[in-house]
Amino acid sequence: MRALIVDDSRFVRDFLRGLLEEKGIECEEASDGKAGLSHLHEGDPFDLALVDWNMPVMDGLDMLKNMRAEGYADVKVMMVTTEAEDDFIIRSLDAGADEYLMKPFDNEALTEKLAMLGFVEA
Amino acid sequence: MDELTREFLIESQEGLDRMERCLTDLEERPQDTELLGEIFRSVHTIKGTTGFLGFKRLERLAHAGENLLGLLRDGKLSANQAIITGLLHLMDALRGILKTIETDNKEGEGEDAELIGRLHELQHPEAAVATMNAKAAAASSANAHTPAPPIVHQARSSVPAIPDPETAPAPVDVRGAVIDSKPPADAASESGKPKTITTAASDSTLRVDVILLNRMMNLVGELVLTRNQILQATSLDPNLTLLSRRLDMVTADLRESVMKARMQPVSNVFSKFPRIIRDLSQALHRKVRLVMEGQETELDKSLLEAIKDPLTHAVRNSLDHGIEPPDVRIAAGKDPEGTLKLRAYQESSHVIIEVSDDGAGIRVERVRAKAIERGLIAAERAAQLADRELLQLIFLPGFSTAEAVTNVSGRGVGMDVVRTNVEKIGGKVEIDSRAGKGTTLRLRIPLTLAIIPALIVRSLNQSFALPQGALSELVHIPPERASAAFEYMEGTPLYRLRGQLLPLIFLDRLLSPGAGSTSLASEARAERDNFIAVLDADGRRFGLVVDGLADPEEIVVKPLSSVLKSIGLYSGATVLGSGDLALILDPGSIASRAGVALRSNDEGHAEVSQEEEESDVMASRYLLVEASERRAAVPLGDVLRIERLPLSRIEYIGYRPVLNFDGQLLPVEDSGGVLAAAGGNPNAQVTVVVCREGTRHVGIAVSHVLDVAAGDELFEAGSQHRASGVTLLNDQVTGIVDLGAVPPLPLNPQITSPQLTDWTTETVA
Repeated sequence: MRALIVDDSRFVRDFLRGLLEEKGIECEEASDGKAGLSHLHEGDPFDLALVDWNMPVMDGLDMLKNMRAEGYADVKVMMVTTEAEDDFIIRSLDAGADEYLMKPFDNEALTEKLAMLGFVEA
Repeated sequence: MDELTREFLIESQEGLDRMERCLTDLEERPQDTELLGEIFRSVHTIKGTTGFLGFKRLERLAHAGENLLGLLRDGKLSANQAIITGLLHLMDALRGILKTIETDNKEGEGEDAELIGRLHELQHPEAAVATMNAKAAAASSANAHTPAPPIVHQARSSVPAIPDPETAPAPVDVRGAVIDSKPPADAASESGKPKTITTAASDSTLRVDVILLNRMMNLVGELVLTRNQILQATSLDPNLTLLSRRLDMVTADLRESVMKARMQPVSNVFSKFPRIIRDLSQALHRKVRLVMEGQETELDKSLLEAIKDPLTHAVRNSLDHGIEPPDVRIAAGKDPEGTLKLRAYQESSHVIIEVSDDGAGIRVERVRAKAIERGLIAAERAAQLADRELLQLIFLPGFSTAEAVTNVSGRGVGMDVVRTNVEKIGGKVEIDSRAGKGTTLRLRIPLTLAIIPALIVRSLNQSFALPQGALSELVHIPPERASAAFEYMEGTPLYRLRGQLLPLIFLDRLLSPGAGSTSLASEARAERDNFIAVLDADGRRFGLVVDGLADPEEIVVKPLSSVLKSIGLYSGATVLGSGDLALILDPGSIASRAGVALRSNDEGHAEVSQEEEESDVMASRYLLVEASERRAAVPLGDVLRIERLPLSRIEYIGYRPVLNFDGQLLPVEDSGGVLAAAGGNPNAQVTVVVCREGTRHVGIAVSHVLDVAAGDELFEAGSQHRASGVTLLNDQVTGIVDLGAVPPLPLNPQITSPQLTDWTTETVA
């Protein structure tokens, strides 16, 4: 299975990649929403996208809306966000996000969320 | 330094470099949203990533900056010179900390409160001027407070005389006696919404630096100590009594006033819930009505801060796991709209905050299953727990009842975090739940941390302070009752409190385990008064046995040096009225140190700790058991443990039943035929009494444990099968099980496979 990590923080990308690869999930990275979309357009299909909210060029919500509009309905989207952004969580769930994960998170929190989406065993 | 931290440092420094460039440009183009977005993101990223690494100072600073930058980016505030200066200071401070992390791998010490305060003030330009001017002044609420000295004095000095056995002492109520002269509405506007503070409002209220308030609080603490000493020193001198009594009153009143100045209404925290609940209920498709009561109840500012997160978590939990979706509610015959109630009220020296919902409640069976599945409790133990105890399991680390951790419950932080946070500030969490009816979570928060009511107890000729918060009652054991009152089971001392077995901890033994043989100690104990302080801590109830009780006192909590802190039995130190120093006992640590088992409401045997195996034995006490309708007695001193377990745990060596008990195989005596009667159903529950016999352990399979009873051995008799004697228990002649007659295992206990058995037999043959 393949996951796309979209976050402008290298730290967060590395952190997520480390955890996901441990679970045998192949990862690709993009540093903003627009780059994320081009990853989707090219290459092998993804099963999951983990998308940050606040990014330069194109933010996570716009990327999500574009994805859904372009018909990437099979790609599960997990929004990665911080506690303070309750409002954003609700908007992204409305816009078709499947799950969200609050920063800072640990392996257990990520695993639980992945399990919710049926990617790993809880 | 690990790779991730390095990555974080580099990325954060890059972000700050960008921020610096943008800030310079911002001076020329203060409205440029692009620039503002870029600066916001730099700080936002630092805030978002620093949490992973636990750098709290960075997180707080970045958070304060993020709030200000958010307003700027959204055009709610326009950048001016003061703001840009503030942001540059923020940047410098962040850089400084990053540098310290780079060299020391930690954030280092530093005071950020002022900068954070400034960043907050910059969010409200119209209030900034007024607050700067008012900074170091005292709060008018403290001045406006009308003293009520006679009442206060009365309440303070009412020293409940102890110890009628089995009655609870009335806690000394200090707070309740004070008249609140400030109307709640005033309080709310004063501190709840800084935005509304105008020049006009500042005529009657002032903003006070919290640091100054803390200092005042410390000074008042010192004054209370001095007062206590003067009261004791002058108690015999009639000339000074009047003066010292006056000092007492004034001190009490001053203390109340300063405490009051630190108070804020809980509405400060409650006010954010309507929005949270509206948004979350939409996201979760729930219909929820929010009811809030007692918002004017006041709580110390630092405590209010501390309960914010636990409370938010509790509210989220209620929405997430409590209140059902409308169709489910309709199907259950409930109003499709659920009710979530937040209620705050004061109860003596505590403020109680309740979060209750009329949702699905907690299904204890699911709690049981989850706790077993997560390895938090053994299945046999879980089977013995009462519903109330099972509910307590959700506070254990690593527990989450959510079958699916949904959106709202967030990162999977559980109720353990709620409990830890609340206990950190000396509070307690209680939960009540009824399946189908709803759940109530109750946070019990002390009014203040600095000064607490405590009972002074004596042990080993020293005084110790026992916080009244944990104390539920006191029991006096006069010398003539001492030997009968203390019972022992598996070496654990117990006391029968209104029919419930209460595990006991002897403070003298805990503090100096080597002091004399225990039998000597118990002899000494039998010659003097003993007092049992019944304590509730960490959801456990136990009795702490002390030598004597002194008066209750208001004590000022002083932190311990790290050397003493590492002992773990004390939460602080204090100076008593007598001028003596006393250590403050921490009931929670005492309980866990002595390994007190969870409180149980059902059978007494579940209460007993499994830790200690002391040799204090009441030779004439027996555990009365029943095996296939025959009664038998097991000498209580030999009983180590009573295990309730599924039949599948019993293994066989040849035809001999054995039990793997803590990695050791022990023979199980089944002369009553209990195992045979279970009919091979592996799920059937059987009870095995594990006993000590010489140097080995043996198990006795029984149907029930009936009672613990006293009786004298009547005669040694070999006449009755498998009995070493006979005793009269509850007016019935009962055989005493002869543990020595249980034959040893036929083989080396490691060998359990049948093939090996055969092989050995062949060889022998």
